[in-house]
Amino acid sequence: MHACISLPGFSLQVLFRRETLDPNLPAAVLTSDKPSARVVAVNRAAYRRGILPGMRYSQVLSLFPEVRASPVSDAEQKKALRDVAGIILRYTPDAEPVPLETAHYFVPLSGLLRLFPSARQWGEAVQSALAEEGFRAHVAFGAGRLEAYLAAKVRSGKEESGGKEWIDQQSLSLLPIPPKDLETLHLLGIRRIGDFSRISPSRLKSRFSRETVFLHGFVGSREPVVRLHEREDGSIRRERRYEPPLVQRDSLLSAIRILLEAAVEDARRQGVWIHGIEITLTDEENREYAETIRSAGAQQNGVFFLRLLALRFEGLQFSPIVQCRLTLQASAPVARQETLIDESGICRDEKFDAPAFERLIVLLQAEYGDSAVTVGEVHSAALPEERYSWERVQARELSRSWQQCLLRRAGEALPPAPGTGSVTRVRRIFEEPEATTVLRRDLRRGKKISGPVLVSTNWWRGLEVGRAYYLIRLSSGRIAWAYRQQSRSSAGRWFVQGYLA
Amino acid sequence: MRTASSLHNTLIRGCDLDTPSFPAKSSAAHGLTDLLDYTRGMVVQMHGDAALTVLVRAIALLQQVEALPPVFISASRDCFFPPDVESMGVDLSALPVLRPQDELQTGTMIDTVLRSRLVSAVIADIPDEYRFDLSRLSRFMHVVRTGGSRLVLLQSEDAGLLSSSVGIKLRVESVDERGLSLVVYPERSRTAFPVIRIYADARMH
Repeated sequence: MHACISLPGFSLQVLFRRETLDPNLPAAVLTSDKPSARVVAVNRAAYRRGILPGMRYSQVLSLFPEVRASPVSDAEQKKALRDVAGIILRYTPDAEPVPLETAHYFVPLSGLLRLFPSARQWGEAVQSALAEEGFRAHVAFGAGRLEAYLAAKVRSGKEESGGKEWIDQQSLSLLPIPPKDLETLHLLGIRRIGDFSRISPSRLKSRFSRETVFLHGFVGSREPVVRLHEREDGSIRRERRYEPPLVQRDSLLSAIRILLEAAVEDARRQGVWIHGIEITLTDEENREYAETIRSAGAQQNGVFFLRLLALRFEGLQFSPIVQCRLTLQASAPVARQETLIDESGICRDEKFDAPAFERLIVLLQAEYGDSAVTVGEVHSAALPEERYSWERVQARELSRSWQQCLLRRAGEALPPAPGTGSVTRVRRIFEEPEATTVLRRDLRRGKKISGPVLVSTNWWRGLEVGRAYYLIRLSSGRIAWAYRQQSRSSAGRWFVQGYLA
Repeated sequence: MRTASSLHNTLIRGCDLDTPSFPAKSSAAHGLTDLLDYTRGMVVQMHGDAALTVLVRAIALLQQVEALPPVFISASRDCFFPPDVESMGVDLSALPVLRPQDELQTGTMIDTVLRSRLVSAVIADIPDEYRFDLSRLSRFMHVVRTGGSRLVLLQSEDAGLLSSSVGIKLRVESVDERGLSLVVYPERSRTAFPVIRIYADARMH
């Protein structure tokens, strides 16, 4: 069971905390302290009078002189977020911020219900602690993160699980999908979360932003499934209950070792090779922890898998375990083309030890998580942030890519040697374009080295993004790769996409 | 491959820095090849506003000449723009980019990868505030020396991570207004070490 703590209109809450304002009077948060600044958030009183985010401050002021408005700086928001996190951590050892959302937190309730009579009472305690510090929070519960998040968004406050049907029926606009993508999805007739989760991930990846792809994974709870062999021959399963429960990591690993040895022995007897294991641990309150470990190549070495599991369980917090289920993903050996090439020695480099390299990658993935090892992929798209992605990679794929690299070098089709001709200045790119006030001032004053290069997307469908790119030398001497927004909603705003590096 | 001993014959000395004259276009590649040869078994700190460009060029060279793959560790909030890197001749599918979460993970990740002796170079792009203690740096130095690989620590500014006794420090700067003439020189010993000049172009999109 999970809880989701949300602090709606957080920038407005920070403003009310700083200034003593009457909540019945209209109040708004601005982008900056000047008449041309835009409104970014409004309270209910302001909304009722027709003040909406996106309006200019001068426009609002001419219509409603009584409005109270002020900017809230990033530093101020960060400080407030630290305060909020401090309060929440008094009530749980384990809280994680909701990705792509500000001032939203997930809290797993495992173990907390021994300290509090019910989830609702825990939620009320957190709410009142936050209220004492001047924050208005909403706490909702669900069987999983997604359900808790949606419950917080619709303010249902439900303690019972809404179930898959309930989630599928919720509106897509509850998720923090970028407006451009949301509009496109609506044009495609996709308005419910259930419809969204049924889209093929590969199609989504080529057409939508990274945020939307991430949310799709979150909704579908999809882990990348990697099939090392085309033919799955079935699985070997071992299961055992423990009385008394296992409370220490060492005793748990020892129990897993016994199960694993028996399962590997089964695999040997059946003549199949193991390429992955799934471990499902059940704690005293029937909650399940599942972990999957995959090896680079199929093998029958239980010790190797145990080592990977020990790395994965390092630092993991768990309640007393009463049951452990171990499933081996195994298949019969298949003669494959790449094996034949390897054995003929065509692409084998004496110094490059492919199996050892694969083991290294698998170890890194086991210790730091699958997402710790990535490769860059380049796509054809108009906007820089859509022209690349970081993809998780399997050890075998990586080693094969390097072997192909070696093979290419040895063959005739050698790529042009670097160094013939001039080099290209490599750019660093931020995850999100930056746009602080100081940076904008610097950009306006800086010397434009080149530009503008105009980039416009989807103008024929009305979903327009217009940018004029420049290289600008800043006062610090660095050369910024910046653009000026040209779309109707935020024309003239400067953003830094990255730097020449 | 050219050897370290030919460095002084092929590269322009630091005293020429004040009167820039660009060498023939192929010299940059020779200079970098020599530099890679020279830095084998060393811990190198590179900083300056154009260090990443030179390193990406070096990665492309490593992918062409070394039997073992180079590895990039990206601990910074920002990272290289992959289309630029691909256009420099780097095979992105064969370049693992490791993503540690914090300073401790970065240190252990570098250690694990170097210790495996399965890579030709580890290029760690780390924030300026990261400080590896001397014992860890000494360990890196030992592993790098015995394994014959390279460890390049990339920071935007010289934050005093390395002392000159532990490794070598290289600064890469652009010397013209448009940032297209790059100079690689060793920190604090400009006249004693050869300088590599590279002419670059910049892309807008």
